[in-house]
Amino acid sequence: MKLAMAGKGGVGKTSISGTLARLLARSGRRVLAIDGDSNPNLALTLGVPASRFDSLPMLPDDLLESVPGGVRLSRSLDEICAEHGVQASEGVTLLVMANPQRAGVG
Amino acid sequence: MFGELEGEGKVVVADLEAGFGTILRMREGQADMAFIIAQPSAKSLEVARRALAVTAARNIPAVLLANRVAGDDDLELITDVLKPTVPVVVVPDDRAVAEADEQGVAPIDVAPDSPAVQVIVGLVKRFVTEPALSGPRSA
Repeated sequence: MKLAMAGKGGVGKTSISGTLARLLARSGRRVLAIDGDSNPNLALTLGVPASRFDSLPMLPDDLLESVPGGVRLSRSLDEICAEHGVQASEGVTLLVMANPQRAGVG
Repeated sequence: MFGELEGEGKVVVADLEAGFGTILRMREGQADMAFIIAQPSAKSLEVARRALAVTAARNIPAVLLANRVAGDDDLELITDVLKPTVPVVVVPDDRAVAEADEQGVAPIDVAPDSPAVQVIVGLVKRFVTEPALSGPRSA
């Protein structure tokens, strides 16, 4: 099941997304939270300590590969989560699409 | 990338980029539900209006979350502008959530019984855990 949270910046999207993810995890679901915002702070609502923010892994650019008719993931979702995911409260796995705090870190 | 994710037994909750760019690129079937979040302000309502139009055109099931609603006037503004044809969930303006935000902590950790958090509890039950949308549970 895929749930998308959308809205203008500053409307409370991230607080609602994180709360929703954690409540789903509490209900027994395996939850993958994706922070797709260019100003990512979903980690905060997911209970990740602020001290870890600077070291949150970014997703690499090569996760999508072209196939006839479109694109697909170059690795399985489980592999991506294992390599780049962050464990947050209630067992939620977080993937961060972009982490400006690490921009330029090579 | 969101469109290419297959759940593999997981519930995927995507906090999309601000605005409606990702929704605009989304095709039918790429999301089981889009929650479009708006507050009673002109700019947020315009983004929500466009996002709702896209989800309707692409047959993506949507729910409007009217956030930070402080009273009847706020809700009236939102419904007057958006004229929603999708379910509307009203999240009240909640000082506890604002304080959590100021402190850099999660509302669910410091104010789990606050009105806004309780609305999200209800939203999960109503739209996600009901049988039509129910996903697999972990063992």
